[in-house]
Amino acid sequence: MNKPVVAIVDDDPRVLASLVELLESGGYGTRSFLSGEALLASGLEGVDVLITDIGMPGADGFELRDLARQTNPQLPIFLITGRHEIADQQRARGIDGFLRKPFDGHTLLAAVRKALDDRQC
Amino acid sequence: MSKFAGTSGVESGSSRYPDIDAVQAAKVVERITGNAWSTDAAGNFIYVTPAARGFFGISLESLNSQPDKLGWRQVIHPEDYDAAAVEWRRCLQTGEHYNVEHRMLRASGIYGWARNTGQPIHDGDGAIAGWYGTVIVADYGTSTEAPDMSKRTEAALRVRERQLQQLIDTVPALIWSTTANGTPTYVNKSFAEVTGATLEYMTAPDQSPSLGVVHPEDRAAAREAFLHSVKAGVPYIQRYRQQRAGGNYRWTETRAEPLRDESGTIVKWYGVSSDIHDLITTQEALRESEQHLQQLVETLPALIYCALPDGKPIYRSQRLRQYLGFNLEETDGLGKSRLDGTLDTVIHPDDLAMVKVRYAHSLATGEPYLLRHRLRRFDGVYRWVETRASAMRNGDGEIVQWNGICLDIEDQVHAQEELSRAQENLARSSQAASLAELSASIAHEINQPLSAVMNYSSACQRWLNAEPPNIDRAQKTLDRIVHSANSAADVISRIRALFKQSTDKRDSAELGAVVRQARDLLAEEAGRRRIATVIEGESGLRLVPFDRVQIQQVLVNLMRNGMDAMASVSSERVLHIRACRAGDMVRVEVSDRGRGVQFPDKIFEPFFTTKDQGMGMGLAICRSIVESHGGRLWAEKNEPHGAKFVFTLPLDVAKMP
Repeated sequence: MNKPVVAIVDDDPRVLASLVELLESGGYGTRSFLSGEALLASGLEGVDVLITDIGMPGADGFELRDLARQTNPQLPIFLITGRHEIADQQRARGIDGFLRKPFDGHTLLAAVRKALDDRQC
Repeated sequence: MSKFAGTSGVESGSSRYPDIDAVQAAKVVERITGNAWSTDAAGNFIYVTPAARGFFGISLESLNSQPDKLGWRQVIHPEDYDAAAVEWRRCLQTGEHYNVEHRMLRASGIYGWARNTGQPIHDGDGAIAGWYGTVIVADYGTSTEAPDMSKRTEAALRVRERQLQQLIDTVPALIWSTTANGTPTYVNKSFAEVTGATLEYMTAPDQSPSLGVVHPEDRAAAREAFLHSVKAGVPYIQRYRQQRAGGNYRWTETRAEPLRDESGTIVKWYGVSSDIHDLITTQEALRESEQHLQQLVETLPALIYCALPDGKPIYRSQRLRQYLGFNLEETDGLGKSRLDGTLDTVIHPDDLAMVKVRYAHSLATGEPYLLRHRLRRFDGVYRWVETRASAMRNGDGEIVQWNGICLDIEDQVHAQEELSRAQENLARSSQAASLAELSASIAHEINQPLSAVMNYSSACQRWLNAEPPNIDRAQKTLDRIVHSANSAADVISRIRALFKQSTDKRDSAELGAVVRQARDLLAEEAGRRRIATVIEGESGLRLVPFDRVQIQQVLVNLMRNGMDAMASVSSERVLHIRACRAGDMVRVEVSDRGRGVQFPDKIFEPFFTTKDQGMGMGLAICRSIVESHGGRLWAEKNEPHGAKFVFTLPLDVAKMP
């Protein structure tokens, strides 16, 4: 069985690289993008999970989520942010897979695992 | 009697020598009657008996006085003179006897009837050599007095009185007379016409003055005064309303004086009434206006006072008296002037010195006085008032009085304080907002590397826990943890650097160049905001080596603050930068024409800001920079308005000329 592929979007290359490292240590294949536009250009073909930062220039995490859902309604999506006030916003409430930086890496990996398992059921 | 012959060759007659026979004839007559005279042929008097001269009060010279054309005329009654003169002229020409009866003025001042007779004396040729004659006094007081002469004297007196009355009637004044005991005897024509009252109307049935033209309300007082004057013989003066023919009344002043005879006995009272209505009504209007003003001042909802040119209080309005709880004299006798006594009592101790200085200044210069201070109320409570006083001057420009007004501004002051507090709170909350913004910004900056650290840590654990452990990846991941952790530390360092001065980039640039450079940095912004930037001051100011970038940062910050302050000002958008030497320091001023500094004590505190956008760090950093250079930074008021930020920096004295 091929490794599940996780697409990661973050405009901060340091954070992006650390997420790639984390997901790879969890046994996933990764595709990393510095912007939402870059992900959309590449397409969601073969992507099993999407992890995206919220605050980014250009298309932000919320827009990216909505666009991805149009293509693949079942796609598990995780939103992460370093700005807590964004996490408190109305539109962020009630969403599963919402993480505030900094978060525990193991928690993210467990959540990704669970989402993939739920989808396979 | 030259005048009588004035038209008939007097000149030749006057040049002839006196005829001794005429004089002798006169002296004969003198022995008989006492009153005798003689003239030359032309009628010039050459002799008048001493008795006649004394009786008529004349001299020979005055009888012959040509220059004033008087002669006999001065002693003959004017009404009788013409007839006597015609007769005398005729006699001089014809030589007929002269025999005329006329009234003559006596030395006593009274006219009396007299018979004047004369006849010529002829010389050997039969020509008239002179005249001699006698004057027989009709009412001489002897048995020789003729009864018809006495009657004529009385008649003449009546004529005289009538003439006087005519004179009196034509005078435009209300004239009247009474007997010695006050019975009206006469009112002149003006009196009757103006008042519409006759003598009968003015006379009461008991012969006392009726005072019928006096206003009923004034009549009793006038009667009492007049009767008192009559009784005591003192002049009468009374003001009352006097009736007019039309029925209305006008204010009148009546004066009466007694006429006394030679023995001093009052024989008559003469009175005159003058219309003083306009004067009185003007005075009344003035009094009313004065009263009105007084009431106005007393009832104005303000505390009003007046003082002498030296400041001594002389008047306090009712409200001020009530406010203070005392009037003028209460503070006298405290061993000081009334002004000092008052000020010491009513001015708040904290305001007293300023009030005294400013008041003394106004008194000395005449400049208006304006000050806000606390004023003690009667119950001991101090309230804020605004006192204004200005000098009242006379026509010569000299100060005659100071007029002042205190307005209670307690509520206003409270409102102002309230407003300031609200603004301060507002400033604080925007400061808090900025602080929140800053923390969020700092948090994000730190969160990024921290997230990376945590992600790498989890990954590292996984690589080590894998079967078999991936030591290689774990090692690489650990390197990245260290790297990311360092990034976080860098963020902290950068923030710290914001507040910390570096001391390793100092140079000795000329200050003027630094100022100009700062101006140039802001030139575009200043132009866009239509603000003129003016630089003045000394050139060649050398500082102790300084951090040029930081000092420029201070200048730019202060200049931009000044521009912000003038954003809402419509005129005079001028930013002044001035640098000059002050002892061992250089003093740099940045002045704007904005609204001024509202919280001069707080603006240098970190995170204090009055701007919508801003962290409130600018001035705090500026002060920190200036102080690290051994200088000081503070704010002053700019004149006439606006703010002035001043900082000092140490001069390199060794390099200064």
